[in-house]
Amino acid sequence: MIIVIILRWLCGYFEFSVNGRFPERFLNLASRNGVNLWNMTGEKESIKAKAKIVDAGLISTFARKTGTELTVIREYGLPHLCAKYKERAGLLAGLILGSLLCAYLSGFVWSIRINAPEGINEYEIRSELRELGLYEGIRFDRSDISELEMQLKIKDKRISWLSINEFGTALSVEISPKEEAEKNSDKDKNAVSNLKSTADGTITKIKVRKGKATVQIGDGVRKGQLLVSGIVEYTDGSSLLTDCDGEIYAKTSSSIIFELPKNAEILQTDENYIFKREINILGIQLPLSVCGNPDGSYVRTTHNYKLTFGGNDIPVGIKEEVWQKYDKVSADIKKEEAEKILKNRRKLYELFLVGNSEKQILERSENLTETDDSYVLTVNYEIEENICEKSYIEIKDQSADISNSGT
Amino acid sequence: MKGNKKKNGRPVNSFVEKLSSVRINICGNREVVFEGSKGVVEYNENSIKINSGKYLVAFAGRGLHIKCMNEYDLIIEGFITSIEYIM
Repeated sequence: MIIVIILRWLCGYFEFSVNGRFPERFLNLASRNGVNLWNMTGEKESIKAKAKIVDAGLISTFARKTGTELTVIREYGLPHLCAKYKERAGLLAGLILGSLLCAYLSGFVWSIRINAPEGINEYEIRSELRELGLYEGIRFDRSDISELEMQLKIKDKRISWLSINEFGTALSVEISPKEEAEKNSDKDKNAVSNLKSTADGTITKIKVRKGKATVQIGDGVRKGQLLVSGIVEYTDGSSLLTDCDGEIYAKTSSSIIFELPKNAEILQTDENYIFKREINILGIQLPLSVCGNPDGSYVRTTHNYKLTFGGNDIPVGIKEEVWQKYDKVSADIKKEEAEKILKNRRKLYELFLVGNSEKQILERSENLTETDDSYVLTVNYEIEENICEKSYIEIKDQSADISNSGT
Repeated sequence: MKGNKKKNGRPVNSFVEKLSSVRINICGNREVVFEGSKGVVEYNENSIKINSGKYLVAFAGRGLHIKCMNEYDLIIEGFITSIEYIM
């Protein structure tokens, strides 16, 4: 039915009414002469119907023959539109220009979506792509995609696999990171390794997947001591060389000193800040604020807002920048303030320390002392951590050496 | 050709006309497909009468209209309340 409607619209049709004593005669005459009529509505001595524009002449003849009065109510379809806008050449020019503009602009890249995995920053990938000549607003040759993929893979060693997919004028970059094992793939797959200790401590937990543990729970170990051996000896006298794998946790002690001068230069925020806004249309950045970049020490915070339509990015966005001024102020710090600052530093340090899930703080003791020109916070930690470090064993093929020396 | 002999100035090539039979398909009381029409005798929104040659078929109802028609076939739509054969 849709096709019929489209065909009728393309050919053009009109709605008319015939009025007279016997409009049925008109219907019969029209149908017997192959004139297709549709959407007929009848009232007393009047019938409304639709017919193709090409049948207009016949319909007029039949109306005259049957003594009915023909009234054209409305015309529809492409021929009617063309006739209506024949005098307005600007519309046609606009249509052609619009089509050309669409065709031209569709050769550009208007949005790049990067699906970066954990550990790889989207901003870094975007910068690397920019260096390789791919960014939003550039005219892009589709045939360069495979070369770009290869270049980016060579440039960023963290990438194991990547694919740049096209969705019209949008590109989607899918990245797969190198696994830890893959990173070590440069090493020989048949490599032999030991696990050695990275710190002094007392063993609390042993998890060995490959290799033979040389220590037990409760043993004290020193830094660099062998924990898991890659040479496994069996009772029948045979031995196996393996690449060790496992974790050995130990209770270790460490201390750290945080120092803060009594008279320090601190950065203090100013209440004044500069707010700048830019609009990005089709890769062109237009400033919406009249102020330039300020002098002095500032911290710039940037927010990018992109318009989306149906889940796709549109090449129109707004960038907002806040420039917050910082002044260096020389100030005498009181002991209470110093304690607060130093404890905050300690908390920050612990956050990074424990951020590594293989470490756990068991005990902590801290002591704040005062010297002539500074405050010193000494913190002693008891930590449970994985102290394993892989140490590869180089094995020389003696038989090869002998044969080489023989020749 | 025999099949294309002219009758009243028009070709006789319809399968339905050759058999001179009428076929009426009624879908509920909303739509009627009428095959074998020889002309519309009466047409308004409450009544449509179709000439089938040997008899008239009268459809009565509300909001009746002919959706489309050609020489022998037509489709009637509307709220049909009765169908009557007038000999």
